Amino acid sequence: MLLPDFGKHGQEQLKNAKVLVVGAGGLGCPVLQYLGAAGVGTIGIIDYDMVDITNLHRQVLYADDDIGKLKSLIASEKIKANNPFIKTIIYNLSLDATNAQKIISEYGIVVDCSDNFETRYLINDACVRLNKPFVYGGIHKFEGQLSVFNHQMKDGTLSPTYRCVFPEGQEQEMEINCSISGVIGILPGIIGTMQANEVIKMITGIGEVCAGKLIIYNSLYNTIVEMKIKRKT
Amino acid sequence: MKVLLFGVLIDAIGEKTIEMDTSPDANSLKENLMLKHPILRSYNFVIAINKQIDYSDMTINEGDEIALLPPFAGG
Repeated sequence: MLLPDFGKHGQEQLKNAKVLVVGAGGLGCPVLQYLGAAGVGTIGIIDYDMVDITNLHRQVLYADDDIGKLKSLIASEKIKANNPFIKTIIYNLSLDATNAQKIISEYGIVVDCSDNFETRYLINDACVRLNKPFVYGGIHKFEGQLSVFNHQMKDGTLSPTYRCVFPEGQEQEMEINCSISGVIGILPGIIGTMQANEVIKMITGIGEVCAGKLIIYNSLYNTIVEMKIKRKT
Repeated sequence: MKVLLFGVLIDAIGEKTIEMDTSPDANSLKENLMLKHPILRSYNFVIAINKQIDYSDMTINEGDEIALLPPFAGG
């Protein structure tokens, strides 16, 4: 709040914002933690999974005592313990074609912290239909991707979508999530924090949103590559 | 011509870069990649030329920076 260009007005914008976080895993934990701490007024949490011992190195909202409990519930408790002034809405379910549009329509911004391509395309298609922006994060071993899709740019045009970058193809062959390939625990922390940063910029209008480009971060070599992307008409 | 790989493509090929003969455009590069590394047929990826994702069979010139980008499933 003390920051220039942010102030009381920025804090009020955060309080009035409604953000949906799809997936409360490696990416979702830092996103939820920082958005809650920042004071985003309403945060939706979608996850049907339960905490497993193999999650703990990267899903840092959860403790050993939480093993076997619902992630959505524990995540909500933890971020509200940090900031009791926020409201959370818990969805203990899997986002699918029957519920995606209804749930997403309730929010201003969606954060894609999912771990499979089916959900990523589902989020994309629902957000495009509903004209909502969404913050994409994806990780593989030591690399992470970030972009803000379907975001209204300053000139009024919409930024590219997930499908503009990755048309549907052989995803089944390469759906290797962190449980299968392994991931260094810090990487989702870095990419998730970058996603939360984009959300805060989008809500408050400060800085430049990571739209129209795909960022690829490599945690082994500390490199960031920025690829230009275009909206397909 | 050096081609940079990312994500699962590094796992598939076992290298971070591969060396290819120069192709005149993105489509012919993709065909040549599949011939030299048939395993790539099983993967979804897009080609970036000089950090611009290819949408229209862009021309490739000597010295261009080529990258193959797969989506990342993990979260």
